[in-house]
Amino acid sequence: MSDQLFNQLKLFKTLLNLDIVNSDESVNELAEELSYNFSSNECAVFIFENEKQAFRLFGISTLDKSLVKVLKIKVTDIPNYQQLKRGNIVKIEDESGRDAFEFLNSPKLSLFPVIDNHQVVGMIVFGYEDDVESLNLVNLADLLRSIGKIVKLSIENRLFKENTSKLLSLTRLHEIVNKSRDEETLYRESMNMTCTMLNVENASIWLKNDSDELEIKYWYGIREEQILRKTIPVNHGMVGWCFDNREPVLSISAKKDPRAALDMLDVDIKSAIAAPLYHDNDIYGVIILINRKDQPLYRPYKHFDEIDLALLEDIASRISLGVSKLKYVTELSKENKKFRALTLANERLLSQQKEQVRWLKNITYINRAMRESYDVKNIQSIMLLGITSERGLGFDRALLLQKNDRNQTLVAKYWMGIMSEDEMATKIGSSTGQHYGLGNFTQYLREKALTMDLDDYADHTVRNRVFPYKSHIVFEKVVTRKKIVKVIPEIVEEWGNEYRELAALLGTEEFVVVPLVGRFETVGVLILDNRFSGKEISVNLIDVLKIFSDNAGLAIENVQNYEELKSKTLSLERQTSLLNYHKEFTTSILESLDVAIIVLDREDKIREWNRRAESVFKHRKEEVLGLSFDNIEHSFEDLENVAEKVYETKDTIVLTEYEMKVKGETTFFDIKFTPLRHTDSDQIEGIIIMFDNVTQKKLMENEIRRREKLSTLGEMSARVAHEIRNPLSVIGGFTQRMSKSLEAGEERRTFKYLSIIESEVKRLEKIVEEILEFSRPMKRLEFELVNINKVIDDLVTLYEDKIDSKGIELKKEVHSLEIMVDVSRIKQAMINLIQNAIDACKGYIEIVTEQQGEFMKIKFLNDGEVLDKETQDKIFSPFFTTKTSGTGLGLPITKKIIEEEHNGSLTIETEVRKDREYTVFIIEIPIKLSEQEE
Amino acid sequence: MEKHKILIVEDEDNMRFLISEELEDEGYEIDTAANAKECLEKIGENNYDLITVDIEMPDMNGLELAGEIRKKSTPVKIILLTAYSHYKADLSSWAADAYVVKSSDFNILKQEIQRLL
Repeated sequence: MSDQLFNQLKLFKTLLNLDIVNSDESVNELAEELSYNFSSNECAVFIFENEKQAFRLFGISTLDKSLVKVLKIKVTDIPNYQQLKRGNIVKIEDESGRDAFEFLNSPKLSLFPVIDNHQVVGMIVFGYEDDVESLNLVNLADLLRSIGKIVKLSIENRLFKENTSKLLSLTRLHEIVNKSRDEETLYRESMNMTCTMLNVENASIWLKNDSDELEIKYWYGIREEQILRKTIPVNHGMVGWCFDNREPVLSISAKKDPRAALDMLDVDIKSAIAAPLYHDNDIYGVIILINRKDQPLYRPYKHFDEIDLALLEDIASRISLGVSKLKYVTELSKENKKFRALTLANERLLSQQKEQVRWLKNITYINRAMRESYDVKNIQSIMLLGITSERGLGFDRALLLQKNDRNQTLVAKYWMGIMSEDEMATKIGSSTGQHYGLGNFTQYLREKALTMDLDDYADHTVRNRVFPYKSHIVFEKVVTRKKIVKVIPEIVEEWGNEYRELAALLGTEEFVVVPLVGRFETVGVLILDNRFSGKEISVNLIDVLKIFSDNAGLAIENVQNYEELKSKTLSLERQTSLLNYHKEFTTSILESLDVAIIVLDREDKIREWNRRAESVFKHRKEEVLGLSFDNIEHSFEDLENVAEKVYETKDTIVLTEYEMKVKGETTFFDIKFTPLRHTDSDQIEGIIIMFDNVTQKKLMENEIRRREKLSTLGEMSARVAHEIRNPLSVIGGFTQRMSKSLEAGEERRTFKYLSIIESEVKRLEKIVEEILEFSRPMKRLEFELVNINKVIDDLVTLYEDKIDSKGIELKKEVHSLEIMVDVSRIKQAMINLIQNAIDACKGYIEIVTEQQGEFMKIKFLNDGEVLDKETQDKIFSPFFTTKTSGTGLGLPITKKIIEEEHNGSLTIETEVRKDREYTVFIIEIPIKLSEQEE
Repeated sequence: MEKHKILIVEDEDNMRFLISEELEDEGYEIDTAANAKECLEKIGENNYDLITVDIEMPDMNGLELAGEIRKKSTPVKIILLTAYSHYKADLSSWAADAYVVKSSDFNILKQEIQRLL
């Protein structure tokens, strides 16, 4: 008994030395000690994991420790578990129920439960050999129970220590929250800190954005591509729930928890905790932590627990507090700034008011100066001087536009002020108070205006530029509605071209347009700017301008009225006789006309002969008045006959490009004979003859025609060159190849090359032949009377084989008719058309003749693809071809034969029959010879 | 090394035969097309390294054809081979990688092909 006691004491001593709290290894040592002290073969210590309802191997006495912390035995696999649960020892002495304990080698096992507070918390298993009688463990129950409790407490102690260290690190978080000067640092650093503290795999912070969604702003342990959605609705999933309910949430098995929809992240989820970030009534967002990292020391579960959640809630509220503090600070500094700005604005207002008073005073001076003047230009000078003077309104420049009522336009007149950067520099250089020394400002303006010439300020860049003001975006408003318009760069950009045009003209995008308003309407417009000094045009200044605009307008209007009255009186005096005036008017029109006009009376005597007629026909009016045409010059004789005809027809006769010799020089006129009728009786009293000299025009036309011919020639040469280049390149190429093939003794190849060369040479010959044919002068034609029927029959016979082999249907409707032609030429022409039809058609050709008055009409129709209008226009030009072979001279030659040699015509048309289109070439030739051919 | 594949688009039989003979001698694998339509059909089925294109053809202008070939976005090189030199000024000739004027001397064409392949 004392022996046993001694052993127990020794065991306790060992146990006291074991540091289970900090080392999992010591549980193995415990098992070894137990095995030794209880004379067993093997011993295994298990911890009960409540969530899993299983025992996990925590220490073993055998040499192989690989199963420790890995192996677990479900309660359902333990025989007689109910017994064990109640605190009884379970013995396993045969094969039944042995499966779960395979890893132990002993044939007999004793399972000893560790119970605490009526709950199973662990199990100790001893293994014995067959021949050893198992110990009566009942006697040792108290001892083993104590040992079990020590193990359990040690592990609880671990968790406690862990939690204590977490709580301690909250102090560090406190520091971060206090030190952060901006929200980003605050969020980011406290999140990182939290993750280290709680051993977290990954974390993210979702904040409410402007569109009332939750948006991921900061993350930890997540790669950007793992973020599947950057924003989620405020009630979406676990994060949304947390936000919506302002409650922390712990979710352990993501699959089972309906709130755990973390579909916005592509991460495996074992457990997660989330807490709302809010302070007072402001909610900012949610912080969520996902998965606890694996740790070396055993803990009964790996997921987050309530303590973690409580901690996170605390952390979240600390962060929120920090954020809310930062927000208040920002708000405060904003208010502060606003206050400062307000003070500044007040100061500015004060100085502006002072300035406005000064301007008003200056305007009084300018007005006084203007009122004392009776000359428009003088008033304009004073006005411009006053506006641009430092002592006046101090604008850099003032541009005056005068209103023209008749055209409804504004015309730019005078531009005064600083016109360049250089002038600006000089102005700043010299004393700015220059004008102040001159005493009374009114006096100064008056004197200065008298000594200067306003025309010196007629700037050439704008002088007489005309702006219609009706429907002009700026001027309409200024002129008709009498408004002052201030233009700023933003307006120039937004509103179209008329603003831009003005800005470009002025060289600045900031200016003000001011109407000069008279009693009833606007009399002119001023455009003012500060292009060079860059001074702002303030609202106050514009108010002042309003007063000025009325005063200046009235002053100008007064003087204008005075001047108008003066000039009207004058002009009335001049027009004493209205009759005189009329006569003068008619004569002056007649004299200043650009056409020569001659008027003949009934006796064909010359009654009128204007200045142009004098210069064209080189006779003075006095010399010819009262004479008839034949007295003057021979070339007029024919005209006299035409004049006679006018009396017969009583209508206008026109001769165009009529050739006349005037003093030996060939001149062309368009001449118009118009009957001169009596105003009342409609009787013809004479004839007006108008001569329009068109010699220059005529010469010009000839020149153009000549040039056109030349350019056609150039085009033709280029086409000829191209036509020839291809066969030449081929011949050249194969000649070179041939010398090689000859060397190599390849006879067959050489012959092939030779035959190609031969065919290309033939092609060249044909091209040359056709060019010659096309370009040779017309040879002597031999006309004879032939029956067109026979000619066409002959040709068709010639092409019969070809038509049959291609399976073409040919319809022929040819009337017997004798016509006068050169047979060989006309055959050539028709061959080209038949050949063309055979090449182009799909299977149908028609040849029809028809007599139309003095003409013979021959139609060649085919059902080939119809050419578009553009191609039809070009089809008769030399070298134009739609085929791959051929020179493109066939149709031009045909046209030449028909039109030039036989006085006929050749045209191409499209004919529609039953919704199908056909191409038709039409020849029309005179049946009898025209005079020319005989 | 595998032979480079060249497609010759040319409507005149003898010229087409001449070009293919010359380029075959240089060790290229040659295919031919007599018009634009045939060319477009063939590039759909084959992988050419280079295409020579005649400009004056009956069914489609060669400049246009070069554009069509480019639209198929194959990385093929294109040489415009023509009797005219004035098309070089045409903006659409930039769709091609080179422009060669036809002559009996094939060295320029061969040099350009070597440069491009």
